[in-house]
Formats: sequence, structure tokens, C-alpha cells
Amino acid sequence: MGTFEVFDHTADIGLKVRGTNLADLLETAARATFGQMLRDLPADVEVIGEVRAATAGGIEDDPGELLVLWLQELLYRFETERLVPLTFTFGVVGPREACADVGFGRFDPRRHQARLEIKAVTYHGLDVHAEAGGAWSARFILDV
Amino acid sequence: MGDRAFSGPLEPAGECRWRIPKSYKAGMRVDGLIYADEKLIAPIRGDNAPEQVANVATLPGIQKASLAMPDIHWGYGFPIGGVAAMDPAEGGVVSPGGVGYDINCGVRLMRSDLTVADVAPRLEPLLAEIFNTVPCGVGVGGKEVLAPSELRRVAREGARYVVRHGRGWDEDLDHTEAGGCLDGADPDAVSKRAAERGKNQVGSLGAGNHFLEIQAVDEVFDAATAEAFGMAVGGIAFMIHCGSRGYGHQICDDSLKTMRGAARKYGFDLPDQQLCCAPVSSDEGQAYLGAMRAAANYAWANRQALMDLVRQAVSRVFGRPAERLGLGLVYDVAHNIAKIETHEVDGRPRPLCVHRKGATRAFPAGHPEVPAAYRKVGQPVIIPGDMGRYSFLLVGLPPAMAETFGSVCHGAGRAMSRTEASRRVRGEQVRRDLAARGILALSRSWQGLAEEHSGAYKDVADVVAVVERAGLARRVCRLRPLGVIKG
Repeated sequence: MGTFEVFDHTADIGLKVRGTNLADLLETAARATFGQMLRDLPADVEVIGEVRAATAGGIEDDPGELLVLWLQELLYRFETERLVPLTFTFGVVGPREACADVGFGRFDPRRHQARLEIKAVTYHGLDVHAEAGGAWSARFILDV
Repeated sequence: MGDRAFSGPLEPAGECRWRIPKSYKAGMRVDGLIYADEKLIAPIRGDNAPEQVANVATLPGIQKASLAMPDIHWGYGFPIGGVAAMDPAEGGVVSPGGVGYDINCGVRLMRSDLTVADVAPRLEPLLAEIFNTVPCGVGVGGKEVLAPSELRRVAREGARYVVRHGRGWDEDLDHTEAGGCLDGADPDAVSKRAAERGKNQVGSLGAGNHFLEIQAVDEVFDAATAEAFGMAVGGIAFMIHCGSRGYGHQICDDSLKTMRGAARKYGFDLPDQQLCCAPVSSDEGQAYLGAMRAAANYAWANRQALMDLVRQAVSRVFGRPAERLGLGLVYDVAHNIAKIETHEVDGRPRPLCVHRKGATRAFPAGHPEVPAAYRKVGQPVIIPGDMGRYSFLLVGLPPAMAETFGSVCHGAGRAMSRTEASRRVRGEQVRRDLAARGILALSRSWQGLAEEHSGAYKDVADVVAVVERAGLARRVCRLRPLGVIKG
């Protein structure tokens, strides 16, 4: 399981995330993001669905773009269906595509306390890179 | 925020004006001009936001200067509090970063015939009634789900849609910037994803720094203008700060992907990739403007729907219809938007694409876009402060047209990060502190309340003082919060 920390940003929220591999980075980034949004998480998985993110292509791999697309997809599911990702089983995880079966719980504003609303995952100061030994780290800012 | 202080030149250039000469940085086409006094310029320099002012000055077609208001702070590409106008005829560009994620985030002020004496004994039930009526909070949408065809109508008609459905008065539209609707909205330029996010959010407040307040006018600075606006000392007003919700956020997300490619396509050498842009006249520029206008109209529909809910709640508590309580709309302004407006440059009127990102339109007396009821005095300019202090109502002045494309500040600006704010104080303590000062607060999130406490913001009075000293707008009255609702 990866680690994360919040760093200061005047108006928004910054996250530094580290994973033991790319899949772990994506999972940890998702948990960190939803942890900022919600104080209470749903207790149980109610829905399992596939979540897929793929970069647009191009000459070079862009893991930063992949991270942003991955988190945007999860935030979209939350905003449209109130689904909160709780468990992750990754299939394809490559520099241009990530696909996982995600177990979602359902957010109920009457029972679950929220912290803040995330408008977007930004490209501001975005940095995602591989480290020695297969680990990955990321730095990104959420617009709140 | 900027991670280092600005080390470039800030040359005094008149009362509350600081120039960044265009010689400062390669590619600057115009000077930068920051409105601030000695007190505010120090934290502005420390935030490095002037570097972003200089970067914006490199954009194609920019006219006069890259402008920044006294509440400027570091943003994404453009600084928050930035104003930039581009001439499409000179290849001028439009940039989503110059508008922001929350397209047409803005403020609406509704007056009333109620006084502090009327409201004080009923403040708690009034606030509770509004809190229970207005959907707010993370993951909370509006009271209805719009069919795709209806959502398209909202995108095209804006606040008119809501009024047409019996949730408002015709005069509300007269008292909304752009009549609550920008022409040229293109729902076809809006993605399915944005439509999905927006279909159930009209009439919802959201969370974060969005709020709804019951306020009292506690000081009038310009009696004649205050009277024209329907404001008097002791009068009760209602302020709503909200934007285009997920609909607008998604449109910005979608547009950034397109614009990053467009900047490469048109060969723009940008000092910051977050200034991604396209010529206004290009397919990409027109598509963005069409979608942005749809989001702007959505936001006006949203604030109109929210005001209608507040009218209903107030009417129930006081047992009289909204009309008999004098619940009239003073004005509604956008502070994240790009609009085609006619401004004089080098002695000639020219249509320009004016970006206001964390900046408010402030047109003076006589301008045809000022509502007829206010044309003799000028456009109301609503500047919200933090929830523990005050907000201001200003009126636009002619120098703003001459210098800033009719623009002024939009609020106080944060002085402290969210994490620092919630480290220093807990939400429950904030609520108790406010109550001790006679301010009731209701929030769906304690952490949200902590992050929004007064200490996290600059003093809006300092910001407004600069705008007034610079001659851009004049204070009309000050409003003190009595009740605060946050999501």
C-alpha cells in the first residue's frame, strides 16, 4: 500500500503520493483524493464496475496524463452516481492505459460527512515519474 | 501558489498602481499593471503572482496591459484576479485558464424590506428554513433532474429558462449581468459527460467557498446610490455565491485537452502550458466560447433558481409573499468569464475578448449595459468578504472603462492554505466564535467551515479600499453577515 501527504497550496489541495508500482500509485492517489473529499467512507462495496483510463496517444508516454484521467473518471462516477471507490483489482496497467475492477460504495449525504468538494484534478505542477526499484511517485493539485 | 517570491520589477505607476515593464520578460507584448497599495503589494510579491501577470502579457492580441486586481493571487496560468482583453482582429486568443474551472462563478445580491429588527428575533428559524430548502453540500444536487432537451434549453436561455418556468420575476433578468444569458451558447459543443454532471445540479449551492448569507447593511457610504439600489442602513439582504457546478467544471476540463493541442497547432510559444489557448476566430476558440457561454448560462440559471428557493423560504417564515417583502434582485455579477465586449483602444471602439478570472465587471453610469433603473448611477458591483467580517456593494466608475476594461476585484482572496486553516481551528470552534459575535452558521461540513474561517482570508476592506483609491469603483454600502450557510 502506498503513502501520501498533503502539501500546502493557498486556495486548493496538493497531494504527494508514492506507490510501490504504478497500480499502487493509482490506487493510493484515488484513496488520497477521496480521503480529502469525504470524512466518512461507505462501509460496504455495493457496486463493482470497470474503470478505464487511457491517454490520447502521441509519441511519448505521459503517466501524468494517465493519472489525471484515472482520477477524473473516478470523480465523474462520484458526481453522477455518488460512487466511492473502496477496492481495486487492476488488470492492464501501463504507461498509457489503466483498467481496474473497482468496488464502489455509495455515498449518502444524510449518513456520511463530507469534507470538501473537488471541482477538478488540475495539470498544475503535475509530476508523475518512476523511481528506482519499480516505485512510482506523483505530485498533483486538486481544484476545490 | 507560487513557490518563490517575485523578484522582477514592480515600478510605482500612480495611485495604487504598479507596473511590470514589458522589457522584464522576453515575449511580453504589453506591460503588466497591478492595482495594490503598499500593504497588499508585499504579499502579492511573495506569492509570485506577478510572474503570472507577466506571462499573460505574452498572449497574442492582448491589448493595453495584463491587469491584476488587488485580490490577486497565484492561479493556473492566469492569476486569480487577472483581467486580459484580446483583439480577435489581431489574432487575439481565448484561454480557458483565463476563465477558470468554475465558469461564471459569481455573486447575486437580493434586497428586502425587512430590517434587522424584523429578522433578529427569527434569525434561527429563518436560517434553518433556508438551509433546509436550498440543496447544499458535497454530492448534493438540485431538486429535479433535467431531461437532455431541457438542459439544452438551460444552456441556451440561462436565467430566462428559470423565470419562464415561474421561478422568478421579469425584472430579475434586467438586474442580472448580460440579462442572465449570453448569446452564442452552443449546447452541441458541450460533452455528454458535462451534461451528465449538470443534469441534476440546477438549484444547488455546492460546497467549498460557495455560500449563502443573510446580511444587514451596517454602513452606507454613498446615500444616493444606495437608495437607487434599494439599500439602507439596517436593511436585510441575501447574498448567494455559486457557479456552474459540475457542468462548468467538466466543460473546462474538456476544453483544456483541446486547447493544449491548439496551442501547439498555432505555434504559440507559451511561457506556461496552462495558458493554452487558441485564436478567438479559430474553430477551437469558437467551440470553447460556445461551450463556455453554455456554462455561463447554466450558472445564471442556477443562481436564479437558488434565489427563488430563498424567496420561498423567507416568504414561509414571514407569512407574506416575496413581492410584499420587497425581495427584489439588486444585481448578479460573474467573476469567472470571457465575454466579447466593445472597449475603446487607441481612440477606437473595438470588440475584444475580455477575460475576467476572479474579477468583476464594473460599468459606469450611462453605459447601455447598465440596467435602466441604475443607468444614472452605474452598475452595482458585489464584492463578498469572508463569513466573519463583511461584504461590500460598490458602483462602477468611468476610469475602470478607461483602464481595466470595466473591471475590478472580486473578493478578499485567501491568505492561508486550507490545510493550515483547518490545522489552526476546528469547524465547531468556528461556529461558536461566530455565534459569540451574533453570526449563526449552518454547514454540511465542519472541515469546510474551518477552512473558510475569517483568518484564512485577507480583509476585503483592504482590497476594496485600493479599488476606490484607484478610482475604479466607489463603495456604496457595507453588509455584515447575520447568518451563513455553507455546503
